[in-house]
Amino acid sequence: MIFEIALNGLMLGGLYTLMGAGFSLQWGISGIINLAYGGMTVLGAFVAFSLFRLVSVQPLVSCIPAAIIMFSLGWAIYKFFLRPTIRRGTFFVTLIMTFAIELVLENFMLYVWASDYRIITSPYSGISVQILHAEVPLIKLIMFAISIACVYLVHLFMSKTKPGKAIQASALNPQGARVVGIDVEKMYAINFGIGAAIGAVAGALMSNITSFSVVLTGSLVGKVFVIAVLGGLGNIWGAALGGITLGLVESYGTITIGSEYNEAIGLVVMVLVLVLRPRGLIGRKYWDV
Amino acid sequence: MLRQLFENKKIRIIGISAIVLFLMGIPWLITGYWVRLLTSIFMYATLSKAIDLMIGYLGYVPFGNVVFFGLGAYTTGIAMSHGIPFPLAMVMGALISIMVCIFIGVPVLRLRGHYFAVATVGLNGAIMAIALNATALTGGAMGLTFPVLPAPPEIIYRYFYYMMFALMVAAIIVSIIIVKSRFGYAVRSIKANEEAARALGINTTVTKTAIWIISAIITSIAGAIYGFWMSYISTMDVFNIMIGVTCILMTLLGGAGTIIGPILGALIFQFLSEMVWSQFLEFHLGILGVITILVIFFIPGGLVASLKESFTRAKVQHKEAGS
Amino acid sequence: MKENNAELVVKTLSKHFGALRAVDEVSFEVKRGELVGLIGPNGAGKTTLLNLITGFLSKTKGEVFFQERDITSTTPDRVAKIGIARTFQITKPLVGMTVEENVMAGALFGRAGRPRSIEEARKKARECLELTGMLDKKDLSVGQLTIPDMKRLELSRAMATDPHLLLLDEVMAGLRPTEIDEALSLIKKLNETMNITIIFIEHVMRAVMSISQRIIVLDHGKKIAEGSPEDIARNPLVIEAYLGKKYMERRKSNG
Ligand SMILES: Nc1ncnc2c1ncn2[C@@H]1O[C@H](COP(=O)(O)OP(=O)(O)O)[C@@H](O)[C@H]1O
Ligand SMILES: [Mg+2]
Repeated sequence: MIFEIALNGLMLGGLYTLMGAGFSLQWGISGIINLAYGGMTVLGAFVAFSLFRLVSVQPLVSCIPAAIIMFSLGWAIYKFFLRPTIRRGTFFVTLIMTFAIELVLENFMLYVWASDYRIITSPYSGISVQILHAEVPLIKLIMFAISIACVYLVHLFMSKTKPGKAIQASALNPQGARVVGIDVEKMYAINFGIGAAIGAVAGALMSNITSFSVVLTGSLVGKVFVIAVLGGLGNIWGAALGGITLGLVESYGTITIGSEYNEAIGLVVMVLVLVLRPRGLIGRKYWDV
Repeated sequence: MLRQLFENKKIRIIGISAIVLFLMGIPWLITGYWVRLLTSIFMYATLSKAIDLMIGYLGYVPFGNVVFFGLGAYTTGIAMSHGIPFPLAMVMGALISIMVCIFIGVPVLRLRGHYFAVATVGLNGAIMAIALNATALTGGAMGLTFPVLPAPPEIIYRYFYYMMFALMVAAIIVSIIIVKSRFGYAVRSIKANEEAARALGINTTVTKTAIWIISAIITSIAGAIYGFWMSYISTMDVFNIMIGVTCILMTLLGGAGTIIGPILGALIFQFLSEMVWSQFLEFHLGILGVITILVIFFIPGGLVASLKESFTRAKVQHKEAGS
Repeated sequence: MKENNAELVVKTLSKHFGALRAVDEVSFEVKRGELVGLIGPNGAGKTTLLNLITGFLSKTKGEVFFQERDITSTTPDRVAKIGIARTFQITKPLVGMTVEENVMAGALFGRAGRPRSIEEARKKARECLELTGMLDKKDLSVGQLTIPDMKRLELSRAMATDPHLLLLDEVMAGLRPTEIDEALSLIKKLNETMNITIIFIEHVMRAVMSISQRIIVLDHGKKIAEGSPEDIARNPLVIEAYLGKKYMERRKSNG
């Protein structure tokens, strides 16, 4: 029983890791708490859903176009809306700006897809795999594998490639990066786009295992925020720690307290961590004394 | 010209009295629809004033401040369904809000910036989930019904009109008193520089919690009146983050940290909402988003600051033309 | 602690930042009414020591007593309330408020006593601004001030809190020589006529030497010397800390 809960939590945690990674990159590197992240994730899911329905693109393959579309959108949003806002206002105005973008995205999705819940019934659903004495749906395993693979790819990109390194340099030491000729603003925009693309992939994957709707955007932002707080910012491994913790806590909470408290559990854990462990689970500081 | 008018104390007093008298008398002359619209404007103005105490004066953004609106509404509703009269039930709602502020506010207010903003969203989400699932007490997803006043509708409309109006006036007076008081200096010092404030002997924890409590009391009373007015509430409705965000937007629009800014913002916003968006229900959210973007780009300091600026400019031009 | 007229007693105070010992087992006493200079090369731990005394940093080790009461774990606002005021090396003006309002905030809070009314605070603020020569700038917003004026504002604001003990962190940095002389006579005046105990951190050696009754020297977190200005000027450890070992050796070899 405990094993099954843990396994389920881990699978969920894989998806949360990916979802959290995008948000955490945007926050930690581009310096933006993106309240439109939920909208971007669900939009990714809708893109995958429509490709599947209309032109029967394999649901798992549709991640790729969803990522490309959302990368462009994320990049443009940063360049044309967020950057000018950061330049003229306080953090709180930027926060409001991302919320305004969320509203526009939500309205767009409501208009195109309405507020009904959708789900992708993929060719693999129904197949299960036996792991020790627990049954796991194949689709969950695939999803877990893809999530981890994506997270690893992002990690490779950030640490091994030239643009990845330039992005990191822009975050760690903007002045220094400018001196060596890095276009810091461009890096922030690209990074923001990557964050959005990651969110879209997570959304597309999610649409294979649970039903989704525009209504979910708020609770998704809640989740990624919890993940970021638990794990720390701008760091893939932090997102993994936060994501898997949340996955485990939620799947355990669902069994013991009931799924209706799912969201509240995450939020309570987050508030507790903020309050009791001012440095986060792995030593990041949230306030100065 | 106009500025001189504003600056003259006598004229100002006369002007304010005229506005108050006008607002006191108007519900007898207009239809129920307009009375209700004005009541909702007062409510948003009050909530915006309450949230601006935190944003404009203290420099903290409680994104989830609507939690006190919900707590006020639910506590009042539950108390009234047990036969407790409205004023007492309302006080109980305020007391619960104060308790939440003290027990959760103290640790949460140690968080800076973003973290504080979103921790309050977490707080709201958690309390909303509790309210949604404590079915025996709150009615859960079915919502909560208030006792209905035994009176004809137009009387009821006016009853709530005057209550909201009184609350709004109280909120304005409270903010004026705060700005001019010693406590107000403490609050503004914290916004300016929290470390310097501490070095000057300001107990920042107590001050921050105190101003949040004031904000929470006003918000929770507004929630109590709202619940009684609507006579039916649900968690989706009174713990809706959108209420809080709308108020932040109104504050931004009018001008944060000014006496009249949040009121002006609420007035314009609600009016627009009613007049324009009700025609385009499908695009309500999107238009809200677009207006927000426009406000941020074109009136970043809020209307009050922009108006002041243009007055000053007009005055300078006037002088130049005269000389 | 032992003597009645000890205003401030610091006992084996330490602050470690990871492996760095920013303040390392520092002990000293300051008597009521004294004017003490605190010097040391950049990064010696002077500001950190001030932050420890005023409660802005938690202590790794050690104790602090003020007027015989233990203030080792007292919060900054309580420290201010019992009569210790400070300035910040990197000035921390209250942005968005005028110069006068900045100083009024000091007068309204600060050392506990009968709280002042707003009007009394305004009066007090003007007195303090008069002292530092900032009265004519009282209506400026702090954003319009030059760095020396910023330092004067810090000093006026600290004065407005009616302190018993005043801790000054490089208030003369950036001042011109004539301005330094003014600042020196002001500090002396505060100390002598208003009876305020003062510890001041300063880089301008001439300034420290000319008015300090006693000087404490820090280097790499440790107290390396303490004594009258004459003693300090002759102390080889101090000369070495300031001018480096090489200089000392050269001097020795040159005879
Ligand atoms: N908050 C901190 N975290 C880490 N190191 C610090 C911190 N504050 C100061 N230091 C380090 O402690 C040492 C002493 O600094 P400081 O007290 O500012 O020196 P001073 O004021 O004498 O120039 C320096 O090496 C500085 O880098
Ligand atoms: Mg220093």
